[in-house]
Formats: sequence, C-alpha cells, structure tokens
Amino acid sequence: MSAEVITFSLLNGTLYGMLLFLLASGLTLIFSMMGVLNFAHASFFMLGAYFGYEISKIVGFFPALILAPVLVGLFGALIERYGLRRVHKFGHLGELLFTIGVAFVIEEAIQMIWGRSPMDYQVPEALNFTAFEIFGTGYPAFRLFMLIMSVAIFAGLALLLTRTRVGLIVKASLTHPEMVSMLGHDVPLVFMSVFGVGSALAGVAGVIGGPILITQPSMAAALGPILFVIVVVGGLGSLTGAFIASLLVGFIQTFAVAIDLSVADVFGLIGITQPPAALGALVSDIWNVSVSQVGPVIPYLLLVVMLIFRPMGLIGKRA
Amino acid sequence: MSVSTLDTPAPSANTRLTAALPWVAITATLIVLPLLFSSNSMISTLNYLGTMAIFALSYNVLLGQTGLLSLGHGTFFGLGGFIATHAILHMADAGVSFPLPLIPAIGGFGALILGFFGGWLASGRGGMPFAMITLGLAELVYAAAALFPSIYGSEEGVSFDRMDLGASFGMDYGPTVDIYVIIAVWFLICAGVLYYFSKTPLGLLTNAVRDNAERIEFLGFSARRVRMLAYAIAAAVAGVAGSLAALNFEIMTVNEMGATTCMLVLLMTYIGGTKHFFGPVLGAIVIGLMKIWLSDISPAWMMYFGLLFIFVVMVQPAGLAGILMDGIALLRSGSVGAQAPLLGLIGLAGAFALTGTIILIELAYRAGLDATLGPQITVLGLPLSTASVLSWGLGLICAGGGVIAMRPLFDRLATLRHSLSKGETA
Repeated sequence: MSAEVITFSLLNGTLYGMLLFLLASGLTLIFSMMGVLNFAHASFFMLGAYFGYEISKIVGFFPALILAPVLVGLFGALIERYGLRRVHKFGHLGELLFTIGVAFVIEEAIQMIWGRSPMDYQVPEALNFTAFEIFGTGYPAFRLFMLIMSVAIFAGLALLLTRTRVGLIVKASLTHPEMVSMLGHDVPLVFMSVFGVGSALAGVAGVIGGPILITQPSMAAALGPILFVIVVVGGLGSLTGAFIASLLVGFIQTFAVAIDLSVADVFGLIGITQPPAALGALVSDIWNVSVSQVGPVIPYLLLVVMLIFRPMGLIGKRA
Repeated sequence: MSVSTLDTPAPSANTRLTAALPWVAITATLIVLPLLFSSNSMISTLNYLGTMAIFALSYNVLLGQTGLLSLGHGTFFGLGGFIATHAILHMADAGVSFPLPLIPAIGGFGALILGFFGGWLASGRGGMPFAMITLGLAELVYAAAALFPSIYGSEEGVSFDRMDLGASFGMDYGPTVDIYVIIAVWFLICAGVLYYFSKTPLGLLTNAVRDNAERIEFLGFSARRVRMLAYAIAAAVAGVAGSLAALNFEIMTVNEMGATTCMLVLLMTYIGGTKHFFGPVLGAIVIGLMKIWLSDISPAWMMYFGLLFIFVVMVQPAGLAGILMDGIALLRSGSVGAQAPLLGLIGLAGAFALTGTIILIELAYRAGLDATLGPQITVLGLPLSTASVLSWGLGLICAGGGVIAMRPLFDRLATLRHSLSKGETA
C-alpha cells in the first residue's frame, strides 16, 4: 500500500469514525440512562438527513444545520415523553420493542413522504471546493468540515459532561436517580433532555452525513446494526469505549475498501494460481474473495470475537 | 435436587379430555381447511400461513417462554431452508431415494446444531446483550452469505424441483395440496413437541429463567445452559419452518434470512400474544393474511403493521390472544349486560379512531409516495381527495375525536367494574 492510500484512508477512517461516534455517543448516553438500547436511533439520524435536505432547500445549508437537529431533538423528546415513559412499566423488553416499532414506522413514514428513491442531497456550494492537496489529489472541503464539526461536538460534549454542573447532574442521574431526585432535581426532565439531545446529535450526524452517505430510506437499516456493534464492542454504557470502537470500525471499513487483495493473490505469491479442484466449490468461492468484499463482515466478526473473549467490551464494567 | 419429588395429583380423565380438546379441534381444522378453500392460490396461502405459524411458535420459545428477545431468529429459518435445499439437490444428483416429507427433519437438525453454536455465543446474558448478540450474529451470517455464492446462490437464490426426489407416501409432490399435507403434519408435530416441551422440567426452567435468572443460578442450575438449550430448540423448529417454506416455493434466497424475516417473526409473535401457547399462531395468521391481502389493497400495509405493533406494545402487551381471552372472561363473568352500553361506546370510539387513522394514512400515501396517481382516492367507500381540506379534516376529526373520547369512557368502565365487583361481594 502506498503512502497516498494510507493517508487518505486514515483521513477518511477518522472522518467516518467520528461520524459514527456522533451517533454512538447519544446511543450510549441513552443506554446508560434507561438501560435500553434505542433502536430508533439510526432512524433519528435518517430523519436528520431528510430534514436537513428539506430545510436546506428553503433556507440554505447552515441554518438547516441548526434547525434540523433541533427538530429531531424535539421529536426524540416527544417520543420519550409520550411513548417510552408509558411503556416503562412493561420493563426493558417493552421499551426495546417500542423503539423497534418507532424505527419501523419512521422508515415507512419517510417512504410515504419522500418516496423510495434516494434524495438529491448535495454538498452545499459554500463548501464545495478542494481544501488541500496531498500527493496530487485534492481533499474535499466538506469532508474537512464534517471532521471539524464532529471533533468540535465531541469536545463540547466531553467538556459539558465533565466540567459543568449540568454534566454533573446528568451523570448523577444515570447512577443515582433517586438521590438526585431527592436533592430537588427533576429527574424525568433530565431523562427527556438527554434523550432529546442524543436524538439531536444523531440529527446533526444526519445533516452532515446525508450528502456523503446517500440520503435514502434504507440508510437507517444499513447503519443501525453497525452502531450496535460499536456500543457492544466499546462496552455497554462507556463513552470512551464507544469513542475507541467508533474509530476502530471507521478504520476497518475504510482500510478494507482500500485493500485490493484477494485469497488468489496471496496464493499467487507462492505460485498457485488455480484453486485446487479437489476442495470443491466452497474453496473456489473463497478464492476470489478480496479484502474489500470482506469489509462489511468484519465489524460483525469483531463483535462475535469480542463477545467470546471479552464479553464486557473494550472498556466495560459489566460483563 | 429433582423436580419429580413435587407431588402433583394425577390428572383425571376429565381434565385430560379438556387438554386434548384443542388438539382435536386443530387437527379437524387442518383437515377441513383445504376442502373449504380448494383453489390453488388458497392452498398456497394456507401453506404460507402454516410455515409462518410454525416459525412464530418456535420464536415464542425464546420470547414468551424464556423471555429472550432474539433479533436474529430469521437466520435459522434461512439456514434451515438452505440446508434442506442443498440436501434435496445433492440427493437428487446422487440418485438417492429419500422421502420428501422427511427433508424438514434434515433442515431442522442442521439448524439445531447451528443453534447450539449460536446459543453458546449468545446465551451468556439475557435481556439487552442477548438481543444485540443475536442481531450481530444474524448480520454476520447475512453479510457473509454474499461471499459464498455456491451455497447461497447470488441474487436470484438457489432453486430446485421438489419432484426430483420422486414419489413417496402415495404423493408425487407436484400439486400444492401435497405440500399442504406435509406442512399440516409438520405443524402438528412441531406444535405438539413445543407444547410438550413447555411442560417438561426444562420447559418450566425456561420460565423460571425468564422470571428470575439470578435465583435459578442460586438453585444450582445454569441459566446459561437453559438459555442455550431453549435457543437450540427454537432454532431447530425455525429450521423446520424454513425447510417447509423452501419446499413450498422451491427456491431459497439470502433475503429469507435477512433482517426483514427476523423482524417479521417478532411482529407476528408479539402481536399474536406471547403469553398464550397458540398466540403466535394467531399472530402468524393475522399478519400473514394482512401481508397477502392488505398489500394488494393498500400501499400503506407496512405502516399498518408498524402502528399495530406499537399499539400492542403500548396498550395490550398480551397481544391479540390476550384481547380474545379478556373477551371470553368477560362473557363468562355474567356482567356483560351491565357493561354493554359502555363497551359499545368504546367500540364506537375505537372504530372512529381507526377510520380516521386509515383515512389520514391513505391520504398521506396518496399525497406523498403515490402522488402520480392523482389526488382522487376512495378510502373505505368514501370519495376523498388529497387536495381538499375537508378530506384531511374528516380524518383528523375522526381520529382525534375517537382517541379523546376513549379516556373518559375507559375511566367510566373502570368505575362501573369496580361497583359491579363491590355489588357481588356485598
């Protein structure tokens, strides 16, 4: 692999990883708060992309970058207030099933409103130029903007949680809700806000990810499982773990695409060019598989391997 | 420690008879159904419903019985189907004579083995981690399937001819009704085995793991092993269902084990009701019929699924079977007469809410996805238009009015029931 490919893969891997973390952070916060994985989280991401597309048609991209996440956040807060809180009495299973139902309905509603084909959500004009050139290839400014946005939000979130009074109350509500309530704070409101903010973060990811990943009704279903891999691999409820796992998955997926090496190439090095016919069709299947084809499988493989050897995740307290 | 030390009175002949009654009724229904609906397409529908019913029953071993939410049960449906498909293809190639009705046993056995492996990976913890591990495993198998076109076929899947194995049991398996016989017999076998399983010590242990896994550990059982066994058994029966689906359609595609199938079985089982043994069958029939018929009439059928699912999750976690059981209990209570006016009003409000919701959804689909078909649309016999405020208003008023009227009506019903029960005790 050339230095050029490595540099670009590193850049894109970080970018994709940070985008994933925008989603995974909200998911992790909501999980540690309610003990429930929000299945609709990737759907909020999709809503963000569609809202972003629709709003940026009217008022432009940058106002949409604020408005769309606010809308998604409000929507998320409403879902928590009038949906999740009501099914709470049926236990975690009921809550999980409820979010599955919400994800299902959101996907259908999006098809209902915008149709089944991808939207023409373009990179905004103001950011449609080459930011810098390395190895003679330009790097788009919009990608750089995405990277800066993600890092800024990550830093802001980290500061908010560790350095402010609000962060203190949120963290305390996660572990000791009764005590926090006793001290006079409105814990249900804290929960609703965290859910709303988590959804809004997913919305931000949708607005800035929409033009790069394609804005279409299947984008939630494509990203959702990857998010769960990240949250489990990182360790359930651990923000740091989610951060590491996001970058890990980001790198794995971008590097896998960049490597054009197949089993046949490896054996070609030692002079075997044809699969031994005696081993049957299965081997000839594998023979032509290249690393880039295996790319989509690797995150799930990582999940299974992780669960066998380290069920608590990278940085998890609970096994 | 042994479970058999518990003294249970021997069941009398009478209770045995009541226990056997549902099974006699089911067998009779299975025999009568193809006679009533003898057209080819109806038999085909029945076949589909039968496989889905088996599939949903297998899923309820996990969801209802053991309290495990698996998001990857479709994997075993698909794998079982592929195992059956390849078994048929290979045996037909080698010229081995093997009776076709026994093919699902091969698919089921294969799925059982795979289920043990999957269960070993997934069953360490229940609840949320279990759900995610099963999801991950399902996605892994689904994503990896693309790498093995010789097993899973490419886009068009693997097809075969079910008549290749030759005739047996007096059938040549050309006509759909022959497949119906196979599915009906397998349905009885699977339902019987799963019902019996729910009464075995292991079956009772699965309930205990659902209710309090920690306590089970203290009693010296391994909750993990119980979960693993339940997982493997559910996988085996799902494999049988998948094999039957393969026999019915003579084709197996990778999509059969994708997220859609995993989600479908969850919807069917939960909407049907997880707390009654035959709830999932009810769910499979209702959802299966909705899927076949509703998809012809309305573009919004998936939306109705989703909303029905959310409704069941939020309002009636016992599912359709629970509603049915409540209705029977009400009839038996003897106070129907006193409650009838209120129940009628509630029904009316519900009908209004439902009508309004349907109008709104159909209008929205016509305005959005199907805008090219023009603004005029007939919903439930009403001529409506997406361009008219009146149409939207009608939907809104029906839906809103129905929902708003519901709350005070239910409050009154609760008061009435309370006073009725007081009157009984006084």
